[in-house]
Amino acid sequence: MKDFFGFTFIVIIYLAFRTTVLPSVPIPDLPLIIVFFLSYKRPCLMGLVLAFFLGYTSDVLMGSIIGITSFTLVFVYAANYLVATRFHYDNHLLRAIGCGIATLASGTLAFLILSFINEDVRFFANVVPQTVVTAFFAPFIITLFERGAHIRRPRSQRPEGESF
Amino acid sequence: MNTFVKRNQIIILSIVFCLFSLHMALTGEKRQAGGELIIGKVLSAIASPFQTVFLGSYNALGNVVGDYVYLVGLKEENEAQGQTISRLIEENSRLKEKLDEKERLTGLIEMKRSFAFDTIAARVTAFNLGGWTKTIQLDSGLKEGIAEDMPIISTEGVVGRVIETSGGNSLALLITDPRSNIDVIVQRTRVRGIAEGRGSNLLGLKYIRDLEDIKVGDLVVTAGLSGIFPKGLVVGHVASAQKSGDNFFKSIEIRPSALLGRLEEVLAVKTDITDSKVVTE
Repeated sequence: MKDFFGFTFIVIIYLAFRTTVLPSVPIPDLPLIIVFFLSYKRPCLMGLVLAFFLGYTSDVLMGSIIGITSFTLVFVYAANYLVATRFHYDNHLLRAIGCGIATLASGTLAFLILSFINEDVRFFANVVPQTVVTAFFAPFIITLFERGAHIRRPRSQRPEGESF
Repeated sequence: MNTFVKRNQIIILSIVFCLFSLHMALTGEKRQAGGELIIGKVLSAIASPFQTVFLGSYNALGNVVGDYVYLVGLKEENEAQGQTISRLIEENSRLKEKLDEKERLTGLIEMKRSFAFDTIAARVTAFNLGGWTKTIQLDSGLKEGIAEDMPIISTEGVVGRVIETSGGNSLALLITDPRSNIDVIVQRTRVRGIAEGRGSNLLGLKYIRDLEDIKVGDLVVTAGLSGIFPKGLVVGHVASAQKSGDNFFKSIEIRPSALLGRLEEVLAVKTDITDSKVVTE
């Protein structure tokens, strides 16, 4: 539950920052990175609910059509949960590639829904820069999350020789 | 059966959430009916102070950095004079800011006086210009009399319309958002069309037949047919007009007159329709 409120608070701050200081610059898609991280690190029902809620929060605060981001984030969570059962993101490059693919999938889904409801949108101008930036920064942000999770865990529960 | 559900609970719930989200996105009933969930209003209320702080800090930091860069050369020449100059520059910058603000507000007041409709002034507190959507947040809401579907204008021209409003703030859809469609007239030839947002800095002008006389630079104004925008508001100028592939409609782009990325103060226009909405609220 702490994670739920913690990540929601971080995303609200991120969206407030994004809509004021850097409104038109592509910056890493933090809600997507959080969802990506939770789906392979600690998959659980609460993580899925958080994915939906972060999507809803993004839609509300970014002023976009409500439901689009929650749909794409839930999709990313479920798809990455399935992928992570067979595949381990155990280095920065794999996390960057995974997050890049997740951003691309998320952008493509949003593009398809918007096209379906007759919104005239541009795929390459929006999705590609977002994918590159998110993939580039994702490993660093995920490392921060892992360090945060490590610090919050009692010393007695930390595995011997854990790398993060 | 129970084991199957338990083993696949994440996937099953994902499908439920996906379908629910798709339903919200495709029907869009929450936003259009103005009945956004209370949680949305709570989220906006939580984010609003952070947005104010970020915007204030950003502007302050911009001024500080600007002043510092300007002063580096002077400090090397004369430290004492540099301090005096720094103070004068800071004061000058502040006064210039005040003067700029006064000019903008004077423009708005002039416009308000000459305008046939009542208007409500509002400051822009946040922008969303990246990605698919193009919206701005305003520091005025229901308390100030702002209602959904109120046109938003600046001294340069049409900015957009209000799509959500709560106690102390509102969200406005810019004319460049793909969801925006405005009935317009090309002023010189009186040809009617639809100005449609494309998610970029330009608007598309649709349904203009190939044989119509449209030139680059032609002024485009609102037609007053949609019931939202009053007639005659400046939307922009024709940026390009070409034959399209279908040989039936022209492919025309409009450059909005309003500087949508640099808005600071705007006016919400009270039309007959929006007036009735305020009364209902």
